[in-house]
Amino acid sequence: MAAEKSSIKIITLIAADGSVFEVEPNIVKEMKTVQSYIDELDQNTVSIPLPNVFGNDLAMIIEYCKKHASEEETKEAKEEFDFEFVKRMKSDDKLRLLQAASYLNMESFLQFMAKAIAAEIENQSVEFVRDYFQIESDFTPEEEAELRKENEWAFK
Amino acid sequence: MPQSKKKADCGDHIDRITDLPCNVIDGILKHLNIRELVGTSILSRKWRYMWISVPQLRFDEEFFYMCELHHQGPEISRIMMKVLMHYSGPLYKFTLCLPSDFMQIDCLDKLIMFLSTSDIKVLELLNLGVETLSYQMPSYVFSCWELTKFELYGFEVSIPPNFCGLKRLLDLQLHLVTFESGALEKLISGCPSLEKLTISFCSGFECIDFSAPTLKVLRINSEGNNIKTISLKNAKNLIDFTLLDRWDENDETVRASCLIQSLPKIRRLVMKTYFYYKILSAQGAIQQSLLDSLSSLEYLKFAGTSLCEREGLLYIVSVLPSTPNLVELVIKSRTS
Repeated sequence: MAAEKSSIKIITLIAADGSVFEVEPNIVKEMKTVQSYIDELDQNTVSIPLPNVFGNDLAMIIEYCKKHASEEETKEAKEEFDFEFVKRMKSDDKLRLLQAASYLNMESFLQFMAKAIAAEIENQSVEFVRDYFQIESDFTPEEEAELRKENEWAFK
Repeated sequence: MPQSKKKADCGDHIDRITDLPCNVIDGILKHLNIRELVGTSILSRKWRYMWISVPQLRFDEEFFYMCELHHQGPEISRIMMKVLMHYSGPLYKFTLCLPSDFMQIDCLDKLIMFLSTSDIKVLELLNLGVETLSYQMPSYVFSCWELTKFELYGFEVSIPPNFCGLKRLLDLQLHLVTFESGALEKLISGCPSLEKLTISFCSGFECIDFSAPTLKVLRINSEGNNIKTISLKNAKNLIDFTLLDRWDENDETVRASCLIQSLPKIRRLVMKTYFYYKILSAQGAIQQSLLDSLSSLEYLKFAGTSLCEREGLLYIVSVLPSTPNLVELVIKSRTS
């Protein structure tokens, strides 16, 4: 089993829109969903459909994984990369990548996205947070007023 | 049909978060302070009790400043306890950061009691106003026996007689802590797994004397108080040692004497002056063994050397042959 696994050279990931990515096994190590798929297969070449992740997002995730899997990059270079990575993203990208990270079961990338999203809702009003996540309130105005009163200190 | 009309009205109004797994939502919520966290309870019905199981709680300076604007002291304690009563856990990390120039809070006892009944792993208790307002740390804090990381800033500490140790503690950081006589030693000897220890600006002891075979990182900063002896009986795993103490060129009595037998794994050493390096590597009969033990040293820094001090510079140059693996030598000049 171990010998078979190590003989896998290239893994093909197929995104929801049909775009194809060929990556080395060490790149997908953090993607537990993909990894468990590979572990179950005996073949030497592996092709994995990812119907919940779009090509653009998968490209970004792979870029992140490549940077972080690299042993040549210093810790500082990786931090700099993370900073720029978040900077060029819109709120919508972050939420999509969070969902993708959850689907692919990537713990450290998930925590990275969660932190970036938390930074956007820090110090923001309830209305802003609702709008940001597109949460529809199902409280009546009276109920909401009552709840606000209950924890008045949190809504000053 | 009202239902489908409502859906059509919403169009792309698709909730982006609510139905994601708990660990994903907790991953976001754990970065929020307590006010933002409780604020999520009115987002929608599904969110009402989402916050009560987030694994980290943080009462930080922002919380206290905001409370101070609107509430009296007892009211702030009431708010804190109400939050904790609603909280269900499991609690992994708790942070309390009392700002400087803040009024006295009277729920510290109840708060620590609450924490001691949880399985908390990481605890940060900071009193930044220690110069004007000091608190005795309630002894139940030493019953949080699952702690792996504990940071204490600006409290008075005594160790209860029934202290059973913090057997899982790996990282202990003590800043501006006033210890009752013997308390520091008792605390450290109750932490058999300790890997990282910081003691900075603490008082109530003259000696740091312990055996810590598991210790990897030790930082002692005693500028401001007077430690007479630093003695590490067993430091076989120490890889990173920083010693910054009060320095007075003309008064040798304020220098601590440093008794360390051997540092076989040491890779980073930071000292205030070459003086410590000298006593480290010149203790009579064991001089050679200690010098040999520094052969794995990669980083050596002297943080307060006077460049006019010819003796010091010469000494530093003379020890370089005994550190064949040194990669970086930093000599920081002391500005008067």
